[in-house]
Amino acid sequence: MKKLLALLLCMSMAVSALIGCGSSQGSTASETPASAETSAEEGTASGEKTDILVWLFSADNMQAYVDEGFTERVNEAFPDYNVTVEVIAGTAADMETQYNAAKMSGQVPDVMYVALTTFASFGTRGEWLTLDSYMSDWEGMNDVMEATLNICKLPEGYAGVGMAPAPSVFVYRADMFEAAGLDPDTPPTNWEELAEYAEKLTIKDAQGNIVQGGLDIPSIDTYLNVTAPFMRMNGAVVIDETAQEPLLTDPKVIETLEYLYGLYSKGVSLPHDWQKAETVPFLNGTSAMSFMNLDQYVKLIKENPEMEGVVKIAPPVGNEVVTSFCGYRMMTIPAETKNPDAAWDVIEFIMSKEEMQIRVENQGVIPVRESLVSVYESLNPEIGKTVMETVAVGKGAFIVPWISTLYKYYGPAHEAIMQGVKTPAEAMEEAQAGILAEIG
Amino acid sequence: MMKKKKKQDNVAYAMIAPYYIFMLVFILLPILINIFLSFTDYNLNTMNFVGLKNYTRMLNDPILKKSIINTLVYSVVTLVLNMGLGLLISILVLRTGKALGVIRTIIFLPYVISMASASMIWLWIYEPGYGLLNSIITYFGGVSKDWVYDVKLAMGCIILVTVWKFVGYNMVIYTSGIMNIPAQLYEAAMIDGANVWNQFKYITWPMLRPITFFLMITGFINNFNVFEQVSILTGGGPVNSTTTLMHQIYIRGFVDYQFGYASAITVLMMVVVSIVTALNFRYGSQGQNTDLS
Repeated sequence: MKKLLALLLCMSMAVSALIGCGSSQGSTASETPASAETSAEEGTASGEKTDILVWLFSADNMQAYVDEGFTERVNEAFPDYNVTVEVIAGTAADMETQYNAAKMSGQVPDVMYVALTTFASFGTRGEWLTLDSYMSDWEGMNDVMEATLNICKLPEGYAGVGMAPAPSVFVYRADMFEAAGLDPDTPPTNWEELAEYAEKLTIKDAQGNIVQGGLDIPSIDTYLNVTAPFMRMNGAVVIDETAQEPLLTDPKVIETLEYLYGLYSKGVSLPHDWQKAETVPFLNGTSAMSFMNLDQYVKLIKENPEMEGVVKIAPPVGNEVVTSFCGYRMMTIPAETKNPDAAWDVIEFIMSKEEMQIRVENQGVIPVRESLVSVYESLNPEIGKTVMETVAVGKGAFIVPWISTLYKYYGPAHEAIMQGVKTPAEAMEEAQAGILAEIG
Repeated sequence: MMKKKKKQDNVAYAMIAPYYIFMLVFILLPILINIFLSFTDYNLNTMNFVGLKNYTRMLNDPILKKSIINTLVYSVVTLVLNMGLGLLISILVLRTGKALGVIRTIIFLPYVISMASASMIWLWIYEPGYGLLNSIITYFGGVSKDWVYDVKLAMGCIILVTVWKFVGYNMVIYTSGIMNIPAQLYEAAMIDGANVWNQFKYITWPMLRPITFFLMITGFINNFNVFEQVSILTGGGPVNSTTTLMHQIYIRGFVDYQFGYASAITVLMMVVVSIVTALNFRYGSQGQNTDLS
């Protein structure tokens, strides 16, 4: 009898170990997106309503948007749908990880809110549904900014809808300008002035240690967040997206890197990694000028109210061309969705003027509808106009399927230049050759 | 009689079954899947059999070669420092007497925090603008360094973080080993006129060989898997000077979505770790049964 009991106990342990590790049954929808999807699919099978799972990530105060009644409104608008909204905590990269996990288990959401980099890299892999047939009949086509619509295009057609721009803005410290004898109301507008201001704003101690940097020039810029806009300012194409070809050896690219390294080697910037906010000198109060995401600026002012009016946003800088980096957050429909029509209905609802106005007014999101620009500018009298100006001239990430290969070779090349290990020409030739060898 | 024996065997098998099922599903099966994937070009969307292409590609991948060298340098230097300092500190701590507990706790403390947290702390310490290290250097009139942003210093910075975190663990293990050495061995040696060095050379070190062997094996495997500190402190840079095998596996797999290639690197890593472990077992365990009688 004892042996039988022991046998049963062992068997139950083995079975429960396997079941416990492999199943998400019984989990609540809020635990993980994957488990939420499981519940949603069960609902589809048993209920009359069409289950739609929407994934948002926590940028642009999306959690607050959801908390303030988005889910209720969308379910009210579509009584035949059961819309579940999940806000994924973390960054766009976390969202990618979650999506990959969901995909590997065969459970993807129906609607996804993604960053432009995710949109581009996943889109060129065929992850998103082409939306041309939906968008041709969409009323928003007449109101949404042309630049926004253009950014949603992949070679196959529209693969997403730009929901919120995420511009990188040129910021400066008015107090440091005054201390250096510069007029805080006339920030630099071109490369020549930028270099002149950067040197004037730099403060070093007797040993030559940088106490205050003039301009943030990242020593690590793997994703070209700062460098690509500079290259574009100089008239460089950098990547020919039509021919799918890297153009890193373009003289304009080399010239840009020579300009940046020239400034960096003069010691106008402390070394940092642009992707790691905690290392960015401007955010640490040890630099006078920088390029940063608008989100970071908003957070900086929110956490340091005394900095309002001290940290200012300047219009975008130019050399041959006036431009800036402008990322986007897009609404997409994963190609594997079982309910594309319902998913589009939800996107249409999210993109409606009424919903966008709620986000503009309550969450401070930049609108992509022309009709709401004035609302945003009136709500943000200090920065609204400059932000919209930046969005208008902004360009986002490169849309090529081999984007990670570009980063893989550009990142170390950029670092080699900033370390003085290689000249810009040498580093770019090596990077170009590496990319071409890999992409064929 | 035979029936009873068979019944007993079945019960025994059933009792060890949970462990073996767990090992089969969560260790052996993933290893087999990984080996299978290494012969494909799996990218989450498509999967084609590519034969040995991923393995031949490894031969011509300069970044991978750099990562292998970096991993070996990191592993060996970290292992030597961790074990050497661990042993040295344990001996010194044992000689301090009263403060033993306090010192041991202070040195062991970093071991209990996660590597991600430790890396964030050190990111602040290494920060060129306002970091602790440069603040101390400039306070005394020195020239500040770029630390993790300097191609010549970055690997050293990562090694330092690991040593800071793990030296306490090595110290504790060595301390327990030393405390288990019979005191009469030292008394006899002293009667025979052995000095401190000879006591260490002929008693302490031989008696600690099994522990040293254990620390060497586990330390090497841990070091070969280095990832968090690389990812947080340097991201493998500058100029790939700190990228390691595990970091490359992550980048190729989860950034480039080249799961086939990442799996091939994993197989390479598994083979290297197995070879080194086997060598350690072959040569490192000699003298484990030290007979001092």
